[in-house]
Amino acid sequence: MCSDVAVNTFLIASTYGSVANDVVVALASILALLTHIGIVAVIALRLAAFVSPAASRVYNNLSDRVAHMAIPLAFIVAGYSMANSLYFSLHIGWQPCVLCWYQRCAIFPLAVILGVATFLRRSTVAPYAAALAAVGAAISAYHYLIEWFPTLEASACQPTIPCTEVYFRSFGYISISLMALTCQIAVLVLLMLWRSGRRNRGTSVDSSEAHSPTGAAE
Amino acid sequence: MSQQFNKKSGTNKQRRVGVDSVQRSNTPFYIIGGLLIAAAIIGAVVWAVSRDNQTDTASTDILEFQPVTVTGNALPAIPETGADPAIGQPAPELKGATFDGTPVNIAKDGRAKAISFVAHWCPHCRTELPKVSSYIKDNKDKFPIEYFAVATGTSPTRANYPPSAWFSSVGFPSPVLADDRTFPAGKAFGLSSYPYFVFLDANNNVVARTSGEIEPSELENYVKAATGQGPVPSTTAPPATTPAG
Repeated sequence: MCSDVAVNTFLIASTYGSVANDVVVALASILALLTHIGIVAVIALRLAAFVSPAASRVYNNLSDRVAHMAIPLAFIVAGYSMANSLYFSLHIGWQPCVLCWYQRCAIFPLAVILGVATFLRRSTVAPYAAALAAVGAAISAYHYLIEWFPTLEASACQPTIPCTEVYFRSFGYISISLMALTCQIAVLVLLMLWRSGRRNRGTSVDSSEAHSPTGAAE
Repeated sequence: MSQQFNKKSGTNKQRRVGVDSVQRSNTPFYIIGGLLIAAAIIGAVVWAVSRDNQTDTASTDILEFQPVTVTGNALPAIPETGADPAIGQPAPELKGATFDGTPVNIAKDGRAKAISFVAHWCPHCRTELPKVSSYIKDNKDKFPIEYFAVATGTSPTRANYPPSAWFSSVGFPSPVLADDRTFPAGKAFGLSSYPYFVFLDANNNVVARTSGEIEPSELENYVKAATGQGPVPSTTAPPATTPAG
């Protein structure tokens, strides 16, 4: 009985078990929101570049500046997402559902191969990373859809972990599956910028050169 | 040799200048990125702490789990196909309490009963409970039946915890029995998926059981059947969501 009171007091004092957990969730939510703004801006610029020479110049300038750090940034995004995922499940205790595991199958290797590419300064990993991110993004998109429309999947919950269970919706729309989707689309956008930057410099995107500022192998 | 040295030296100098210019031109990116991350961290701390302050005043006398005493034989689970073997069987009786300790008995008392078993984390329960709540408020005296809810499947690490706050926010108008940690109330009624309804007649025998979301119109048909004012709707067990791997 006493332990019940203690547990309840502890949980009521913070939303997700402790203030540290609340900060982790809030930080991930804010970073996801900022990333959404960045993704929308870059994609809008990329689309505008097809019809506007001015937008094309801005996009080329951006990709030139970002290309050399695109893969390290993608590594940071994927690594942060992996760390967040592990914190949610191992520390807070939110058990991953089946679709969560499928998304982990994409994000965890993404973090590893992008990390190796960053430290070896090799960019040959880009197509493989893009493929992983694309598959993971498709799964995340479906997961996010059934979170909003649970009856698309089933009309009842088993006593285990349903994929439609939503732990939080920060800012009214950011859930864990959307964070995963954000990570994977951010990686794809960064790889797109990397590819555009390489093309601007006239370097083959299939080469195994390093992603250094000068474009030279190191 | 000297020319080669100078030439080489000049090339290296040019390359360094090129690198430096790229680094200088990227400085605004680093500054903006650093400021955004710093702002995000500060914002996250402020947000989390301010949210904690809002919930600090919640009562600590609430217990999400309460002891439950079950009397009678447990009902079998609803089969995926075919007739429900529990129909016509006497239902077990439950003696427990709501979240604040108020006793709740779901036992034979000469009145029909509609018992809703819900889990706070289940999205289908979260959709259904407000509808059921509205239906009960609008039709409380329309049929001679008692409405109960059983908060079961409770877990502090799952979504929408605690269930007491959820029921309170929905404004559920009927007694809520808080199930114990091993969910004896749910097991006694053969619960296999959420949300789950059991309808009993005035003799405490099972009239119908249904699993999965139901609309208020369907609920009314079951209520009519439990009170002898209509036929028993046909029930089938719906497909449940995929279990975790």
